[in-house]
Parts: sequence; C-alpha cells; structure tokens
Amino acid sequence: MGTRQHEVTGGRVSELPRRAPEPPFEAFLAANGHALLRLAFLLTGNRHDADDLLQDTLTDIYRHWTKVSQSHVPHAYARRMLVNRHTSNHRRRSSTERPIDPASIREARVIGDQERVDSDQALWQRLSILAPRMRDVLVLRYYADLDDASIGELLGIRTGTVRSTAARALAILREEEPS
Amino acid sequence: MTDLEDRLRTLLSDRADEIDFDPSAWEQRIESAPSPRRSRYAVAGLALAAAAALVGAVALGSAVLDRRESDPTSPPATTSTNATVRYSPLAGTWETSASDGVPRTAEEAARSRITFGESGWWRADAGCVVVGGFFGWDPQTGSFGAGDYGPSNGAMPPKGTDDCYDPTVLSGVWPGSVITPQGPDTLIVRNGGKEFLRLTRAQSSDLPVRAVPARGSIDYAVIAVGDGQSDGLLVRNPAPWLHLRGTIAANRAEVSLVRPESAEGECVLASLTATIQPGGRLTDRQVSSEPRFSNGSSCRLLPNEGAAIAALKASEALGRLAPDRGIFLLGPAGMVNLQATPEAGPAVGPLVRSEVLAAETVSGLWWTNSGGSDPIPVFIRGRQGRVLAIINTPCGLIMRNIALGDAGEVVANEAGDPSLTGCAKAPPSVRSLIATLESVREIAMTRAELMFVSEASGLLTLSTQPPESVWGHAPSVTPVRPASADDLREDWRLRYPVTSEPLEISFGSASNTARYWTMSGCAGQGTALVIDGYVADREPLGFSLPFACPGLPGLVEMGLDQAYQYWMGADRELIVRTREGTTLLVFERR
Repeated sequence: MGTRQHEVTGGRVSELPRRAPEPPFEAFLAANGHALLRLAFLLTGNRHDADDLLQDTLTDIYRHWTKVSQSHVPHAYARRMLVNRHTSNHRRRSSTERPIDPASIREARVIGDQERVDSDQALWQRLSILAPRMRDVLVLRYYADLDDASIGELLGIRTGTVRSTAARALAILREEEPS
Repeated sequence: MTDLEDRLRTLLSDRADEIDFDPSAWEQRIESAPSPRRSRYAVAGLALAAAAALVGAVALGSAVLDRRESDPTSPPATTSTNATVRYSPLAGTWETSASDGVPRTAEEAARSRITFGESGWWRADAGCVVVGGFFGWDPQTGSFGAGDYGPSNGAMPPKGTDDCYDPTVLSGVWPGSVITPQGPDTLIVRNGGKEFLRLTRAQSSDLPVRAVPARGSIDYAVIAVGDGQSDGLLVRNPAPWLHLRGTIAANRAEVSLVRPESAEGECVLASLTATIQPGGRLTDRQVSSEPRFSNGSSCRLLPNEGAAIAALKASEALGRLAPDRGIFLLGPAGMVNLQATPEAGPAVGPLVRSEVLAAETVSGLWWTNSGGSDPIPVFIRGRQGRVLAIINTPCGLIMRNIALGDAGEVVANEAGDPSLTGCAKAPPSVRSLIATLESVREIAMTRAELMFVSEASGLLTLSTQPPESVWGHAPSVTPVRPASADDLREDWRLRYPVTSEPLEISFGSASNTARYWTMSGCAGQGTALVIDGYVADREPLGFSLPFACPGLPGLVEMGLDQAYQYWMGADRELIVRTREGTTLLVFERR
C-alpha cells in the first residue's frame, strides 16, 4: 500500500510534464475500455461486479482525466486505478464475500465428452474460492502477464509475498483438482 | 510452466474473450454519473475498509435556522428552527409495479419495495434483503441521489437468499436517477431518460428512519416540534425550556418530556417507553401524560407545552441524523414530530463514558497525546458497529478492524492486513500504539476524546485537536454562522495550517445538499453531506488518497475528510471545525 500511495502522489499533475492538447476521454475509452473490462471481469469473477468496478474506475478517470491523460502510460495508470479500487472494494467487502460451497464444486466434476469444458468450469469455480488477493495475483500473473515485481508494486505487497501467494493459490487449485 | 499454469492462462484468456464492450454505451454511462456509481445491486454493508459513507442528502429546508446572535459560535442544536422537511411527495412506501416497462404481478410488486421518509432516510425491501440509507431529492428536477447502502445483516446478498433476493427496486436508487411523482400514488423512476421503474404507493406504510446510533442516557433540549400537518413542517419550539430525558438501550427507549427544575421542582410532562425495532420503529409503546413533579404531586402545564406533549404521544419511530444532532421522534407516515439535541457549550460537559458508543460517531482524525513523545495521528472510520483504525508506520499502514458490542465492548479485533501485525522498526510510541490497537477491549468516547482500553497499555486517550507542534498555532477567527450551500460553492485556499505548498479546495454539488470537494496537492476528493453547516455524512471517494500525501498536506486532507462543521467567519473565511467546535482548518476565498 505504501508503494501505491507513492504512486498516487507521483501521478500529480505538477510533477508530470504537460501535454497539449489533452486527448479526449472518449478516445481513451474506445482504446482501453474493453481491456479494462476484461481485467475487471477476471478480478471480480462476475460481470455485474466487473461492470461496477469499471464504472467506478472510469468515473474516477473521467474526473481526473487531465491527470490521467498526462501520464506517460494512460492505460497502465488506469489499470492501476482499477486494481486499487478493486483492492479497496474487496477490503470493504471482506466480510461480505460469498464463498462457494466446495461441495458444489465437487459436484461439477463430470467425466466424459465434456471433460475439458467441465474441467475448465471447475477450475473457474475454484478460482472463486480463493482469497481475493490470491485471485488477484493469479489474474495479474497469468492474464495480465505482469512479473512478480510489477504485481507487488500494483498490489502494494512485497515481491516475495507475490510469489508465496501465487504458490499457495496454485496449491489450493491443485488440491481441488479431480484425481 | 506447469500444466495447471498453462490451463489457467488459457482459461483466463478464454473467459476474458467472452466479455463484450460497447464504448458508446459506456461513454453515456460515465458522463451521466454524478458520482461514482455504487454497486449495481446492493453494495457491501459493513463498508469498513473504505468505510464508504452515504452520499444521500437530508434537506432541512432553505430557511433553516434562526441563529442565536448572542452566541454565534454555538451550534445550531440549541437554536430554534422552523425547518421545512421537503420530501412529502416521496414519503411513504412504494411497490415496484413495473420494471423496464414490464408490469409486475401484485406479488412481485410487494416483494421489492421502497420506503422514503420525511427524515431523508430510505429503506428498500429487496425481497428478503433489507437495505437503507440517506437520500437527496430535488423536487424541482426530480434529481435523486443515494450512496452506498448496507444490508441489514452485513452481507449482500446474504448467504442463502438467492431464491428470495429481489433487487428490482434497487435500480431506483442508482445515482443519476430522476424520480417524478405522477399523481399522489405513482412515482416514475428514470435514468438516462429511460423509465426504469414505476412505483405504486403501498397500502401499508412502514416508518423509515435511520437506526438510532445514540444509545445510553440522553438529556437533550427540545428544539422543534411538528405542527401535525401533512406537509411535515417543523415549527419553532413553543416551549424552549423543555428537555427530552431518558435512556435508549439496545432496543428499548424510555424517555420523558421534562420541564427542568424550577422553583417548584422538576416536572415530568409525559413519558414514553417502547421497544425500538430495527430501523427505529417503536412498538409496545406506552405513553403517560400526567404532568407530575418528582414528589408525585401534579404540576400544571405552562403555555405551549401541550404541543410538545402531543408530539411525544404521537411518536411512532425514533431516528437520528448525525452525530451531535440529537434525535428525531417521527409520527405517522414518517413526519417529524419533535427534534431534540444535546445542549451546546461546556455546560454539558463530556458525554460520559456510560454513553454506549456508536461506531459512526468516532470517525475522524484523532491524535495521541502522551507527553514526551510526538503525537501520532490515528485515522478512524466507523459504521454499523464496526470501527476501522488506521495508523501510518514505517512498515506501511496498519489497520485494525474492530467490531463493537452494544456496550462499546470489543467483540472482534482483526488485522486489516494479516501480513502487517506489528512494526519492529517503528519508534516505541508507535509500537505502543500498535499494541494498544491489537489488544483493545473497549472503546469509549467523551465529547472530545476517544478512549481505548487495552490489555497492553490500559487507557489510551486520543484527542480530536491537532497538536500545535504539527498544526501550528490556530489563528484567531470568529465563527458567525454555519456555511450554507452557496457559501461552499466558492473555491478556497487553505490559510491554516500553513503548508509548504498552497492547498486549494473546490466544492461541487453531488445533490441538492451533498457537496463534493476536491483538494489540490493530494488530489483528494470526498463528498460531504452538509446540513446547516454540519456534516451529517460523508463519502471519501478515494480511500487511499488521504494517505497519498506525506506530511502535513495528507493530514490536512484527512482532517477535511473528517470535518464535522463548516462555518463562516467574521471575515468571510471558511472555518472547518472539529466535532467539539474547535478550529481545525481555515480557508480563504481564492
């Protein structure tokens, strides 16, 4: 978190070179909105929460558009805002998560022609039982292709913590694998 | 890369590919959002880490308070009022008779319904899930605003409610909604010009009030009584000597209308005992109205006392707007019958420890004040029986999630981030504070002090007043009146405390009474629901932002985020004050 604070501070307009004219928000949205929504979907695990997360993030971006547009890499800046908000959300909702009954996951194990599809579905469901930070680490590592240092920076945790979190998450997923 | 990792990479990519995106739809969505949209359905109830507050608004009218000229610094609590509560067209309980233009059956309509109160409180029954919050509504434009809201039991949707949760009505409380009455019994809810909901007045109406966070003994001055008319007009208190006195326990109210002791002794005009239901409704009411002195002999009513007695007798619910603003007794259909508030000034003294703590009241920027070591700022948010305490340490932010019982006792105390439970490299005073937070077993509050009783260090007292060593010497300012919405619309520059670089603040409108502010330097934002100069509620838009700025600017932002009163000074400066009315920040016009 300390890193994130620093980065938020680092994003101040006064510390960044000005560019003129300011690019339109609409162009940013068209170029980056889909990618952000995809990431939001994978982080949250469902479309409704993803829409909400993106909505909140885009509203923040819209309000701070001057600052965002003047950052060197607006997409990365926006992604950071989205992940930060997501982190904040799941802290806020830490006691309101809806754990999926592991029994229902086991029931999803069907062997047959649909094995691969079902296996993917089971893996997707198993992702949802992971602690939010575990899921975040896996999504940022295996979807966003970020290295562990970048993930740590983004989530405000140490690189070693990223590695151990990922390892624990993968171990949990393996434990739940159909034999 | 293991097989599992390969599958994970493919799966994530495949699932992401299934997500469609329409940029133009999102453009409209963002540009029409007056404030960050809350969850599509209900959002988290505990709202702890971000501790999102409410954006909603309670309007007590434009011609609000008749201030006491003799003591301009006293809070409006002790002044008379002729406030008008303006939500009459919405007041009542409404069923969702149509959604997206599709009629709903009577059973469906009744299952998802919403109640708007004159108190500015709304409550929705989304099937078997109940949520509520404040709202703001502009009768001229129909513009409606509501913020985060919590379910009755903290989870959304609560476990096991999938088959009974009906969030249809919640689409009506999205920010940006426009609610237009169509006759006395129909409301149309539009968003982006599209009709989302059609609401029909329900036959039976619940009474919506904010659950009463004030628990314990009360001795409040009666400042306004209702006139009993359907427009819910609060009128100047005709008998300003009256007090509302008694106790509000966990679910029990025992209050009396009292003429304080005079030459003839104290006279109890009327008494009310009742059970407080969730949401504030009073049941099992027992009212006595035989004025008697404390020795049991009968006392005669003085002129104008009858209206207050009638208001007490007709009260059907108990509500409260904000810390230090007392309580409301509501009558039928949510009309405000009577408002009573704590007396101002030092004569009242501290609210004693016997007052059971409400988590909402402890939010703020607090400071340790142990002699010999540097004061440490402690940022605290509270909501729905839970307190989040945050301190900045060399190891990062240390957070404690503390759940409180009805008597202020700590029933749970967890680290906000399990990986941060201590900080060896912190100075001894910080380590001591951490130990206190980790072992706290009781929290109590006086008017200006927050007390942690812990296993580690016994009693730790925090103060709301920033230390001079950090904040500097407060300038001499004279608060003359609460800041109005028009006052806040100006742009301001910080004058006190003096920061190394200029800090500026701008206010905008989130709804008719909620103001959002944006501060330079820290890039902070928040929404303050300002009623009569008092901050009734607030929503920090960026939870981490108060900590983004190191040093004094960040603390100033924290202070602003947790301000309790906005007042105008004699020289037209904007004075932001602490809960007990001392000067926290001073702004001058840009």
